[in-house]
Amino acid sequence: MPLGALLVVAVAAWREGRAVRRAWFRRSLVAIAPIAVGALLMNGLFFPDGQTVLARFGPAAVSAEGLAFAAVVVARLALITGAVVLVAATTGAEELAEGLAEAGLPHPLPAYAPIAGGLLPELRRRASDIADAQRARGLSLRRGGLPNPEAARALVAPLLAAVLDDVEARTRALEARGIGLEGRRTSMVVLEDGPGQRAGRWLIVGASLAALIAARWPR
Amino acid sequence: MAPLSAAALPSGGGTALVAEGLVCGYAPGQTTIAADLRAGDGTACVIAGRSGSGRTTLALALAGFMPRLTGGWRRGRVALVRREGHALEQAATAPADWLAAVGWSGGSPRAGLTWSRRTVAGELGFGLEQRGVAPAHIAQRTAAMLAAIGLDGLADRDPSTLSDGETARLALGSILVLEPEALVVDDPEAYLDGAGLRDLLQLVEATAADRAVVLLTSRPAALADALPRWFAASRAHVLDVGRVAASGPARSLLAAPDVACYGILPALPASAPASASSRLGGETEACAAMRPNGTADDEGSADPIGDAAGWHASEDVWAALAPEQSTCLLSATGIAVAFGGRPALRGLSVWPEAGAVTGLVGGNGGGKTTLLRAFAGLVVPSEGRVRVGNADPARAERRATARRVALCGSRPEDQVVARTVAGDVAVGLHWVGVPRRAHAPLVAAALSASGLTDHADAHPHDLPASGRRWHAIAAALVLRTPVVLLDEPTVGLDAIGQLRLEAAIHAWRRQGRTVVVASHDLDFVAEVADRVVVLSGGLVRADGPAGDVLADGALLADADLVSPARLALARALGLPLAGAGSRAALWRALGAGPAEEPSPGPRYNSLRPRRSERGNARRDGR
Repeated sequence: MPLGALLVVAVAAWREGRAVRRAWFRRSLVAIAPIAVGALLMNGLFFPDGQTVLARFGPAAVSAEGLAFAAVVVARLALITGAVVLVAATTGAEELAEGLAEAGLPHPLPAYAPIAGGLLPELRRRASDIADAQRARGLSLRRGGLPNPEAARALVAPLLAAVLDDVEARTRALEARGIGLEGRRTSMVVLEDGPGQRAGRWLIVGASLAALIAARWPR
Repeated sequence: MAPLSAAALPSGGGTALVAEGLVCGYAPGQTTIAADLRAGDGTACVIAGRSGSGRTTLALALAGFMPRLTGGWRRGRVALVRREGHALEQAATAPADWLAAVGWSGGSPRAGLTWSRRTVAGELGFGLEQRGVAPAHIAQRTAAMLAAIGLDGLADRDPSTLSDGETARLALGSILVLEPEALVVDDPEAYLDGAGLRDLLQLVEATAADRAVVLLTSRPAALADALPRWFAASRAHVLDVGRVAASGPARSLLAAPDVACYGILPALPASAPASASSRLGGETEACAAMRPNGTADDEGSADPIGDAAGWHASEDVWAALAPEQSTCLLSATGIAVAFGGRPALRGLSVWPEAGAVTGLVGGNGGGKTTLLRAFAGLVVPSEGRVRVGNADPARAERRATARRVALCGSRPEDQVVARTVAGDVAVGLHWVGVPRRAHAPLVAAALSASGLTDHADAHPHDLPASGRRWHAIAAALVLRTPVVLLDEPTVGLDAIGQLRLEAAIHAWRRQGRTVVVASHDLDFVAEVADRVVVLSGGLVRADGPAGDVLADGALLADADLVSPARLALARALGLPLAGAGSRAALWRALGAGPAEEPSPGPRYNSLRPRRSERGNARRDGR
């Protein structure tokens, strides 16, 4: 079941074009690979109810049941990760905000969605600027090929101050633009939500319910 | 200043913004600003004040952010008086409704954006969306505003990829497009090149007849250069230690040389020298009004630079900070740099003269900052090569590069890691491997050279803007490098800080340091640079002696720069356009400057009464 759903997600990613496809595959792989390796090692070697032993390494034994369980866990995690990464890669923060507003989320909460979404890239940019400022004063970010522990403090302290300043500055900027105004709002963001997409969403809801019922159905 | 009558209708425009008995501060019992003001007579209300004068606090109070978001306390009345006599009281109005009527823009450019849209056009239209403007009209108004602020080619760009100057245009344009009834703009000149400032002020001027406009500035000369006629017609107030010390027509008040006693460089008139001379000479009454009065206090200003004993450090201090290495050659040959596929430098070559001062000038996004970062080894060119001495600064060991090249970036707060000014200055010494026992004398000398000795134990974030800038310069000076790179060093500096920096740069030149200064402030560049390189679109458009390059008005205009009024005056009077003391020479020729040629560094002490003299003047009732 998880593999089938993952296949659906993969096909959806495939249809989004080369850039999205590559980003989806790379990011999903980076996110899932360490978990997958961990799950395979733990469950493959130390699965408690393993009857069919394939190989033995001292106290550890590779069992067919353990590998099967690990495969299911990895497939489920891959499905969740792949779906989240696909949504993130194809849904603009502005569209998300507009969708949340249309869904009835009270103002100004939807307006904060793109701001929250942009926070990470902004932090990354500021961290890069701060690192440059400190490197210009002689700070080495790596020492002997390893991260320099001293660099962490030199980067984190100004970054924290920048975040606090940033919060106040954004509040002022948002208020100056009228985010607190009462009344009707408009939007330049156009949501592409045709009959096909609406039908697709209901189909996913229906399929999920059917899967739940099938899983719980007495055999 | 006489109290205002809020019932009085706007005299020349549609709306007046008035502040009556406005007093506010951050700590209990400590007054940061006290002012009675009125804006809205069809021209701008220009409020000039040095760093720490309370200028930004006043702007925040007028916008209603103070003390709601900043903390602190306030008393008094702020109101918007409309033509029909109806007054919108700030105290009785919801913050959102007040800000819908009173547009505010201030702070650093990036702090002025909401970052709620991923395109420049989207950011510009965000405020209109909040007002419920129809999408078709939003598209029209944002397109018109994009063209007006010179960003029409960048409508679909991600705002995070804009230069600081472009971001400043977008931030102010995002407020202008909302067409507020009153406009409060703090430090519009800080990050904008001459053309950008001129374009935005023209936009403001075009609607000033129907709108109250308050421009708060530490550099009225930049406003005067950008839009001389409008500036001259405006009314001005000078802030000193949180109070309005003098008021009058901008043309006389802010062009009077004695304005320097409040830490502001006077705006020179752009008219013919003869008339300029007579105008300045005839302003004795205005100059008298500028003398410190009872509003100044014996405690001095909040600005550490102004509290320092002198305008520039002694030769002993500079000797203690002399570079460890001899003169160092610096070169960039055919370098190309791109960010995200967008070229920032396109194969340019610049060879700053060793032991001299090179000015990098150009419009916003011209490539000045990127070139400085390449010299500091912080970006690796995709083509060409950069050399500091015989080494590639990007590939050399970091501490070795930092001992050759010091870079003062445009954002001093990025480097603060310690809780005290002295501690933070010492951090760089530790990183480059200077033994701890040698730190104290070097830090003391750097703080002395920067006028921060009395603030060694203060937290760097508690310094006013000018002090923060000097803190960053101290952190660079302490490394005693033969090469010093300064990126927009005058941003945040008031006149006193600028004069101190000019004196410092002259001292560095005497020590044989190679100095490269990237700035859109041509008045500053004219004073310090031996040679000027004009950058535009990542290419070198001109490279030559400062006097020759800065005299070429067509060339500067082509690079989105506006020639300062002082250059035209100096040319007309046959005075040197550039070089150490060129500004003082012009003031002297106009009969308004210091009595003698500043030597070895500018000596402007005569323009600013010392604290003891100010105390005497107050006791004498002057």
